[in-house]
Amino acid sequence: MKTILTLLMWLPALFIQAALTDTEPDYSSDTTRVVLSGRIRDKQTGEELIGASVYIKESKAGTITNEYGFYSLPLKKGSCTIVVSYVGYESQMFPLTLTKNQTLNVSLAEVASTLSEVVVSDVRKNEIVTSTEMSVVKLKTEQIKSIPALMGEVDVIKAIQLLPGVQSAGEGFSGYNVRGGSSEQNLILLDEAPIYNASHLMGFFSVFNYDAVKDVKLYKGDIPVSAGGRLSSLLDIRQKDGNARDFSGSAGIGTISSRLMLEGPVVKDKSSFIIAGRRSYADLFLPFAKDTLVQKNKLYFYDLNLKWNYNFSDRDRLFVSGYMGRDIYDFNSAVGMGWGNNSQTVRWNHLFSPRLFANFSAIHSNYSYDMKLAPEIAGFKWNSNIEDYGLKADFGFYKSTRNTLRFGVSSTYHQFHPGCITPNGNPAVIEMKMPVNYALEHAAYIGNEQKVNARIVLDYGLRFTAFQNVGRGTVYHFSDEYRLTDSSTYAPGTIYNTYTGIEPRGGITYSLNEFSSLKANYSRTRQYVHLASNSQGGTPLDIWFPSNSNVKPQICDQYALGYFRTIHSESIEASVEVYYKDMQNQIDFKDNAVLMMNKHLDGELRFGKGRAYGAEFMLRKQEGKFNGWISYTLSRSERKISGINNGDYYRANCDKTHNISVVANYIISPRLSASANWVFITGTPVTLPAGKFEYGNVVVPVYSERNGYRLPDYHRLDLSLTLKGKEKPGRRFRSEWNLSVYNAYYRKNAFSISFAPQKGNPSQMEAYKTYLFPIIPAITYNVKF
Amino acid sequence: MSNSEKFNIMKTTIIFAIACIVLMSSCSEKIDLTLNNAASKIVIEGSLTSETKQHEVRVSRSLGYLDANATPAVTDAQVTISDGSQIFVLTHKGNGVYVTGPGVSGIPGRTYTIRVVADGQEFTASERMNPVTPIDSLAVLKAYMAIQPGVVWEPGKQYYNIGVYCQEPGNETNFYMFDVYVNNRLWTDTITKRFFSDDGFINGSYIQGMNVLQIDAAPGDSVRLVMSSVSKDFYYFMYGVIQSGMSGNPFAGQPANLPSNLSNGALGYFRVSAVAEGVGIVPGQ
Repeated sequence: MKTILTLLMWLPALFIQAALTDTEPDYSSDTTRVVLSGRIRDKQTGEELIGASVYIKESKAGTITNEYGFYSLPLKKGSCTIVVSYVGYESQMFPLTLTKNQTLNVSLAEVASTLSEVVVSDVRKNEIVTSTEMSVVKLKTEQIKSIPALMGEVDVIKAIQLLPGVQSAGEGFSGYNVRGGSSEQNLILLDEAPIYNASHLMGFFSVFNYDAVKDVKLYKGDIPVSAGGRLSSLLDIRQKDGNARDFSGSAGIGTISSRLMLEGPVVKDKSSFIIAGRRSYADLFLPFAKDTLVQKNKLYFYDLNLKWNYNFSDRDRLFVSGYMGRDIYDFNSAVGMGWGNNSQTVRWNHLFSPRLFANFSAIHSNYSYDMKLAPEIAGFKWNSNIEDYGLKADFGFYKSTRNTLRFGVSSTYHQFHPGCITPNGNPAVIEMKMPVNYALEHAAYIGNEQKVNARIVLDYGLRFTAFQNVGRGTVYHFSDEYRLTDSSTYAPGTIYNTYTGIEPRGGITYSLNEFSSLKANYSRTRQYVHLASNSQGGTPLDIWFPSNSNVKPQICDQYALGYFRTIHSESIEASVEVYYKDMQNQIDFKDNAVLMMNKHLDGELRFGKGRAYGAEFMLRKQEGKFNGWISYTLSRSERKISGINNGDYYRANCDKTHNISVVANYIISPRLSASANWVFITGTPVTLPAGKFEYGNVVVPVYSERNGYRLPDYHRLDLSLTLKGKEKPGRRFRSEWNLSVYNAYYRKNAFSISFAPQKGNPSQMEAYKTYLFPIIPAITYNVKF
Repeated sequence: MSNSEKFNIMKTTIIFAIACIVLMSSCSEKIDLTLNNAASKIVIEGSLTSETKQHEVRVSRSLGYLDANATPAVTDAQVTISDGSQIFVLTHKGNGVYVTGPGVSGIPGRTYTIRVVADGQEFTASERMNPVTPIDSLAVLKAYMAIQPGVVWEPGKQYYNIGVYCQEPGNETNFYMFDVYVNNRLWTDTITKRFFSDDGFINGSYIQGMNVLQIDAAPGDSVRLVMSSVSKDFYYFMYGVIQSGMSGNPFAGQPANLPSNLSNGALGYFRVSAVAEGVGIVPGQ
């Protein structure tokens, strides 16, 4: 706590100090200064590039483009050389003589063939060293594509699970864990709209169709002040804007799904669109199942991504984007289920001046599921959803080459519908509706990136958040023994509970030399919405619920330290990071808790604290014939919750001591490339019985310690081969075959351990492991046009 | 009363369904495992109902989970059940089973207390006998699809749904357990074959043939359905038993110990039920 107070006092001082020591005079009154600004785009598609570097060759001062490809550089009048570069693209240099504010929009061409190692001496590739961000990983869609995937289905979330500090919640689960946090503590944004459940088919696949994805960035700790609301991480996914130059598209036919993406200009260089769809046909394989009941099942998902933008001028731009996806499951016409996300974002970029960039967003997001049980079973329908309406304003003020300020505000209106039961052909069923909860979540933030001198860069900010429960609402009160005592009901529109908090975040980058740097970071995050899920990794039927007077916001303080360097002519990045996380107000559930259709859910919750710490090592080569990475994470994550495990610390579900990922991609010839990845993960903690007794002919287990055992260690090798079709000059059509093998050496990785009585001696229990995947080969044919 | 008790069995169905999707393509194989053994405890399984019969209580001991032996019977315990005024002394019949005299029946509304003395320690539990609503009639109808979790249709057998007609009392939350006899033979011979329900979605309604069990039978067979009122605690105990049968299903919450109603750390449950019956005949083709 003391640290935080110190930080709080320290931060405003920094802002003042930044204002005072910024030796560059305020330029608006200074006639010797000008502003160079503009957007950096892909030459072929007109797609704006996020995080492209723009810098002055002579002074090495520079900046990177923001989420909309925009940059701004306040400079001295006179001559200089501007270098614009981006990984995987040919760099460009512009000798300029600046006499007044100038716009420089640059289109970069992709490196023609990744085969030749392009070394442009002036390109600054050591971004990992100089960037003030730490604990952040970016993945380009091309990299994600080259990773062998389950059933050939390229997957963003599966790819990020190969990064250090990120654990898969397990095969078959939707969730992932970042630095010992639970999967509900990850904020997933698709074009700024929160995605509450990012999984398809029970978590085998994610909802992100990579055809429509432009940029993927995972913040494992250093969550920018502009984002919040979750404890552990931010996965920021941006959809493509659509090709502004030419009409084009891509399509793919795979083992379990087919895809089609079309994009093109609506008005050339002014407006473009993209539409991408995907439909799986896993159910086509069900007839091969052994169980005759399974053969009649229906099981598929689909996705639709849409985006349109209009460029009114260099100052104003409008984006409209949407996503919808759904899983449909029908079990023998007796049980039907559906779930999915639906989100829309409208954004308006406006340049108030070449130094003041603003973006205004209106966001809607809805995650819903429904279930229908035939009259023969129970005869009811059941649905539940969470819906958000949000408004945001974000500003970037490029004060000088030394200080870049970001500030903004946001408000979100949450509606929680925990569930509603209605009759389905069964007149005896009474309609039952769980009370709807309403809440408002507000945030205001300010942050500054300050280049103190050639060696030290600071990045610090404050985020102020408030969460308000809004009537109509009923809060149930419980005694210390969690027995229901009474309840309070609030009229519509009344604000009956408010939580506020300050989230300081800050970091320092100290450059040791041109090739290496040290970074340190502290961040506090608060989470006001929680997931009622007591399964290992989340199911689509879990419900979200808000903080209220019974449920305090979750709070996390994270401290991280890292060493970053580039080696071998800057094409290899190496990093080591250590972190410690202290988590308050963590939530778990009492034994045999009832989480669905339970008005008194609050009484099923148990609270405590958590701690997680670890070290992450990464070696990555992004370019060249042979590229890929090796990552290793050593970590621990524990919880201490009252009433669970006798109140002692126990391993969190995501506590997996060792995690190794090796991702390798080798370009054999311009047409042929091969990829492999191998993972090793310590077995998931499980609770196994210590004793048995008999009751009603059934052997009943007795447990002693929560998560006291582990599943066998998990490891797996995947391989893939991509063969590109012959390129014909003058034709844009490209095709490729992708062959992949998942679990190449047929490791029977345990999904779970269960017990069954021995045949002939029902008293003897025997242990069985269940494994999901044998060797799975897959073939995909992709075309681009 | 509340919704908080609702949904348990339904949730089990749902989790079963979810597990089906994932496990559809899965395989299982036996593995060797060593587990630590918990200390042995006294286990009590007993019931007293409104039926006039010999009521049974079984006393045994728990063992290490992977122990090859059956759990041993406790044959030298003292077992009594009382309703505050009367005391029934149970006698050991063999194999750890203790019985009352033949003419004993419980009376709805009374509270019954079991007292077991074993290993020099005393274990007790009390439950009130909740009343049960009478069954007006049964509907025995041919089934066209398997709907009961855990019941897999065997080829060559014919399956029937048993539906219940009765008035559900609306004044309180009631919990029920259903057993079925086919030609006077107990079909629900394992506790997990029984059906448990609360009146969550149907509280106060007239129940029009709601299906409670699916059985295999032949035309002409006689069917006797036994509906027992059970306490909320027993309902949750059974919920735990069914859940524990799914242990190792990572979708189904953390495994947990069952909430016994017995004192002094004993395992098991002492159940008190009022009983109603309905009879029917399996129809011809």
